Amino acid sequence: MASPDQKKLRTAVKKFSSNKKITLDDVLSFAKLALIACGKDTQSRENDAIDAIREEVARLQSHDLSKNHLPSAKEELDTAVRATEEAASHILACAETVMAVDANNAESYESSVNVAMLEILEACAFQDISGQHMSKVAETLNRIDRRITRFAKTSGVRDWKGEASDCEAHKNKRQKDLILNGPASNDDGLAQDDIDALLAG
Amino acid sequence: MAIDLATPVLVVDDYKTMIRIIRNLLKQLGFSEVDDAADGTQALEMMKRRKYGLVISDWNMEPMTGYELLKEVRGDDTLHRTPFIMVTAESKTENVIAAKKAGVNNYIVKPFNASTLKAKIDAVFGD
Repeated sequence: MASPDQKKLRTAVKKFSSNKKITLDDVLSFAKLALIACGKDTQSRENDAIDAIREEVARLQSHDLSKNHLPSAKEELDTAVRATEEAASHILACAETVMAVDANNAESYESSVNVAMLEILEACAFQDISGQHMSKVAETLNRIDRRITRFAKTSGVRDWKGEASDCEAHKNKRQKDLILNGPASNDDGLAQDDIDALLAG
Repeated sequence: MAIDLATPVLVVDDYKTMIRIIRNLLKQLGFSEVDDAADGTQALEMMKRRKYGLVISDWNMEPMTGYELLKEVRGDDTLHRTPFIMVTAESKTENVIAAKKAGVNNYIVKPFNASTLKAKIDAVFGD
């Protein structure tokens, strides 16, 4: 007569043979049952390692990240981008208004410039709000970083050597082929004078 | 070759605010005919319909980048002489060298100011 563990193993094998969705937890359960079926002690090191990995996977709280933190971070970024665009557009409109005013009419010109300057000052308040939205995004990234770093350290997994996915492979190839480095950070890029020298050389 | 301020200029950028900034700067410099395109593909189509005396293009756009546009323009029998200035945040040495090899006339790194744009346009037209 089959033991409860053997029955569980058979059920797991059936699930793997079917087209049902297999989760990481299924794989870990299967590995644990297979070890038991092989006659290893349930308290063996391998078994403990599987339990530890299962716990670490749970500690990633991936559903919490994908349902709460990531959508929220995207919303924060979208709001910051929108606020920046609106401010830039408002400041440009002020500049365009001043550029269109007849400078020969001193009184009208002064009044228009004063109004525009005040509006530009007000529009610059976007930086404070955008900064706060960005801080929230940075906190989400730090949270993900902490969880993944802990997971990688505890599970001892090594990085996959190839591309993470076809989509990323395609994106990376495009970036490399078309030299899409994006804006430089800090002193990473050339200054205009260096570029001029390179072009002249 | 002196600058003809009536010459049509094509500004290519996927960021509307940047197009608006460059349009205003060009207007201040006296250019009266300024068109814009949101990427290289649209720019190329416009260049085949209208003769532009100057193209000012961003690098990082989709689907066709400014770098690809530059190479298309230089490889086209009709368009290959069009003056081309790259205005971009891509400021790595490899970008500048690639653009130079592809035949760019000048290269401006973002953020830039009005005097830089004027100086580079003047340099392209030999003023």
